[in-house]
Amino acid sequence: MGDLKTFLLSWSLEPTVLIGLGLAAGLYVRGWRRLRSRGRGGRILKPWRAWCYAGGLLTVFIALVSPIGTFTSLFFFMHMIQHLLLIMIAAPLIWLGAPMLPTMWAFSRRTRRRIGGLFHEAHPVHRLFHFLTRPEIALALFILVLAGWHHPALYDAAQGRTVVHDLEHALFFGTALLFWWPVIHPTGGKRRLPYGAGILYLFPAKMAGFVLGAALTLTDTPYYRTYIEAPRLWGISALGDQQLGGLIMWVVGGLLFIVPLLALVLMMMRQDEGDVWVPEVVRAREAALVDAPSA
Amino acid sequence: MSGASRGTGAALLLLLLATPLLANGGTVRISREPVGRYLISVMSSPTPLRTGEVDISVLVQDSAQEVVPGVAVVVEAVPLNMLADTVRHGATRQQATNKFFLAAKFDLETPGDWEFRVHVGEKDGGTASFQATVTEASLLDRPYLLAALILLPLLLGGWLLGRREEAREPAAARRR
Repeated sequence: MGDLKTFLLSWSLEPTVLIGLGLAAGLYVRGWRRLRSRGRGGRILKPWRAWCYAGGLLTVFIALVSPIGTFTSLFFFMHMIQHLLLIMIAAPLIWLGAPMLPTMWAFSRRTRRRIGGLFHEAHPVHRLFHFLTRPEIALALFILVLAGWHHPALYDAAQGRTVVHDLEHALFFGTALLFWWPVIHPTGGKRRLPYGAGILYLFPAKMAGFVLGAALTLTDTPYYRTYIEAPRLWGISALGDQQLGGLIMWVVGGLLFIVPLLALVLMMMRQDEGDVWVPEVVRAREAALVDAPSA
Repeated sequence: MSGASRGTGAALLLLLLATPLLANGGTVRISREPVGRYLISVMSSPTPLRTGEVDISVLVQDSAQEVVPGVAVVVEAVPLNMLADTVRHGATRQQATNKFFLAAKFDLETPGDWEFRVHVGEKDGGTASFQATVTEASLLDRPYLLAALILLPLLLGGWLLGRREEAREPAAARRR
């Protein structure tokens, strides 16, 4: 078997990931259909949002289940690709899919009321989310988790241990979702930050990836015991692997930030803050509030 | 309960009960050790080893670190200082998640110290081994299930209370 073919056959069909993704997709599709059957779906949720959501879930699938996920135990650079897929592609795509509304509408009116109650302004869950999605908090958590998990002691502790590794991924993905919240509101609603401030908000995160990537690349010492001890394939040394991973974070991560930065610049130039998002919100709220708990 | 709620509940339950896949990875036990004309690396999963399913994955390479296909690999789990049977399994590519590896899966029921002997090839091969302690599996090893066992009664209680209150409301309204 050729190396490429062998690589492409190495899938980790982890049941927890498959069930989780199936559940997320199933609820979205069901809610979407229900909204459409009431003649609202087309107006509230445009097809591009569903495509974004599907793309986000597909990216999670590729990151965790495909050979990229399988080879993270052998190569640091595969881990970097996996993390970039989760935090830079999957998280923003999922929020662009505006998943809150269709997911809520997958449930009965009674359940929607109960879930909706959690997001009532007075509810502690709402207050907690409001706090965590404050731009300065979300940004700080994102950078802290990104830098913290790359400390060799924590990184090595996570490898091979299912629970700690799951926690690592959950924190990466969870803080990425919080990080993108202020610039892409997941109800398709009004963002926390105006376009100009959104541009400034993205820069510190871009710089954190830049510094971390450079630190991993411009060194002659492999930092991670996991990869020093790991079996080597394809003639890539532990140091070469780490430098490649650093370069991916540094260059590819930096390039991936350009996409949302450009999008925000374009939006700002159009100066249609109100036209782009708000009508959707108004319509979404009209639809959602039909069954939402009274304030 | 609506179809979506039942479906979500069932999926969440499956999610919590699902046994994590023992992918080839985990702890490196033997790293690029010469065995006959081969270099072998061995990884074990889960970390730490527990009673129940144990995955031993073997990578067979030549001196140039190219993967060597078609080499027979047998893994033997030998109990040390305890009463248990020695178990032997052939390592195969079919059982491996990472198809560069050959994997053997064991169902070890006895906690204690075990020696894992990896026999590679025939005349041109040899044996490498490592020792590891297999601990008794407990509920603490499955934190998701443990969390579910704590949370489920609370959620169920909340749901039942909610239903009772909802049932009372129309009755109270009728009385008014």
